[in-house]
Amino acid sequence: MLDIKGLRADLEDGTKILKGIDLQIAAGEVHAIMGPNGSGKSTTANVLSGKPGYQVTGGSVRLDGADLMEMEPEERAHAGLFQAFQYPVEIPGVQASTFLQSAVNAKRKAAGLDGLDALAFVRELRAKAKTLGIGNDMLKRAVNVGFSGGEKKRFETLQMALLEPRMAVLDETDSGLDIDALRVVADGVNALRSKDRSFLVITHYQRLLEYIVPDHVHILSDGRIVRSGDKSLALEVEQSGYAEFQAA
Amino acid sequence: MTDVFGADFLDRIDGAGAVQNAAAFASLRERGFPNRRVEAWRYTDLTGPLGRALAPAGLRINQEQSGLFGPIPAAEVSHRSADPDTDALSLLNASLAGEGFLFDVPEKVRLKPVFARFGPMAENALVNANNQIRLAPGAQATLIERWGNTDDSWLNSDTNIELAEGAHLTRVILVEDGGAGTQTHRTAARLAESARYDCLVVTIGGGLHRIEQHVDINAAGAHAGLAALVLKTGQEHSDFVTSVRHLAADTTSDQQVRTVVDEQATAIFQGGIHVAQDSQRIEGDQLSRALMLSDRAQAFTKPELEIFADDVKCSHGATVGDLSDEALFYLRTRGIEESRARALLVLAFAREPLAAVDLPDAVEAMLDEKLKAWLGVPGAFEELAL
Repeated sequence: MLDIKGLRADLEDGTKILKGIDLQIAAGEVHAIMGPNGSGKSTTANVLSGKPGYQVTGGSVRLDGADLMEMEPEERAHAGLFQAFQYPVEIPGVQASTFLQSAVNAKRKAAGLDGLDALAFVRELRAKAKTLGIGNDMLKRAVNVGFSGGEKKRFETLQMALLEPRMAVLDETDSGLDIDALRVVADGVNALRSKDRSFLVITHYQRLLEYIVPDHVHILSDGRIVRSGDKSLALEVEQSGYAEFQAA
Repeated sequence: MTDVFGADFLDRIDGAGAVQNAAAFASLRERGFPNRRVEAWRYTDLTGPLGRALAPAGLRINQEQSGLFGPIPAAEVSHRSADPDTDALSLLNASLAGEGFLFDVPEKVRLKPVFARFGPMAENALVNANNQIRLAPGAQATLIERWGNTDDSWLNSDTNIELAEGAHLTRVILVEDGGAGTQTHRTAARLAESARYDCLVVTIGGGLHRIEQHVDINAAGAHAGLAALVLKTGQEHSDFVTSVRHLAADTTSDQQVRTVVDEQATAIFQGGIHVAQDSQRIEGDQLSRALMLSDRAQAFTKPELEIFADDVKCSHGATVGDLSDEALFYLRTRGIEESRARALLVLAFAREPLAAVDLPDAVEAMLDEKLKAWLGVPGAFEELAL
């Protein structure tokens, strides 16, 4: 499904961050990328979704065969990519539910479908929000404004549930969450696991992977994947730390 | 005589035999119109409208029911000030206007919103409106004024407001232009004890719009809330001028101005707060934010705070900027295409002054739709009933 080959990316000032990433994720698989701070974890997520500020200098990324790097961020979303952000952006004045309806209908339009009317959308929204413990009061507020850390991550998960991506990238979804909030978010993610949907879970800590259990774990260090294994690799890292993977 | 700015313009008016108040006209001839060397007119040049061959014409008023709102009687117009120190546009108004509206609300009467539309009858018209709003003690009223212009005409209004003790006026001034016309609207309001004046100005389109709000807060407990939404594109020019004078202790004011400028448009906010020497325990807030959608657009903010008392809480803030790249990217990653994502963010910004005034739902919906039409996304982004 997702095929990353030799991906290289620099910051705009020329600093090299990704130095050749190779990663293949098949349909229905959950992969985790772990690594120390500064290894290129967030850059990987940002480059996949097309965030400005990076220069892709080599390699390719294909989602279901389509070249992601040639697409605008919204086209990547239409192609089935979703990024759950580490720090979701606050957007004052934009009602959360209006934003969600715009996003869902933009994706439907791109797929050649009619937009959902308010009634049909609200019905679906309520049902999916409820399973994540998101009430109407939160949906009436402006996007992420005044949301707690846990609310922000639940709201990201709700967006994922509504947009039904092929490929979801979760960037440090565990950061800033206590154990209860982490459980709610992980349950939301696990409910979305299916044979047609893949996940790339990016995290510094092994803790999240106890709740979202990966099929494969990769260690990222200095812009490269230096080791891959199954879920036991995460535990190994938890015990020994990242030092052995870091360049001397 | 020929030295004053606008002398030719005044000659043409005189020649047309339109002058109704000779004393006011004589004063205007003596002082002329303000040029850009006058500080309050630094950013706005009247050369354009003064250079046009405009014919003085009557005001057209379309207004829905209300016995308390109607054409202003001649007696109310005739004694307008001819003092040479009076504002030049007020003198022009006093010289020519025989028309305008009177909105007179008796004691303790609470009115449903009154809607009124004003416009010129003809192209190349010079229309002066002389308006009077009076709310007796305890009266409450909402007045929605829509000023529409045709290309090249000049609409010049002068509105006097008297709010007695405990009176509350909510006022919307929607100033629109289909073409490159000129509109100048000046308000002078006086607030008695515990009176409240809430006014939202929305200005869209036009060649030149200058809207002035001068508010004298004369007694304790009174409050002035001035909000403005300025939407300009093309070569359009807007100058929004406020002067709030706290002339008594225990009074408050709030000014909220949001400006969106695109293409080569220019928008200016000159915001004044004056606190007199014995006016203690004053709160005066002012926030101006401008959004520049083009590198060639211009936005200027000139806050003027004159504070002569000690026990005063006055704040002012001014920002000029572009849309947040982070917010734009966030929306796009959710599949919302860039032009719509931009429109959604501008919409959120531009709604802020609408929220600053307690508006009837129908008015808020009407303004919201104007805003969406201006952004090119009519009917989009409805808020959902949950």
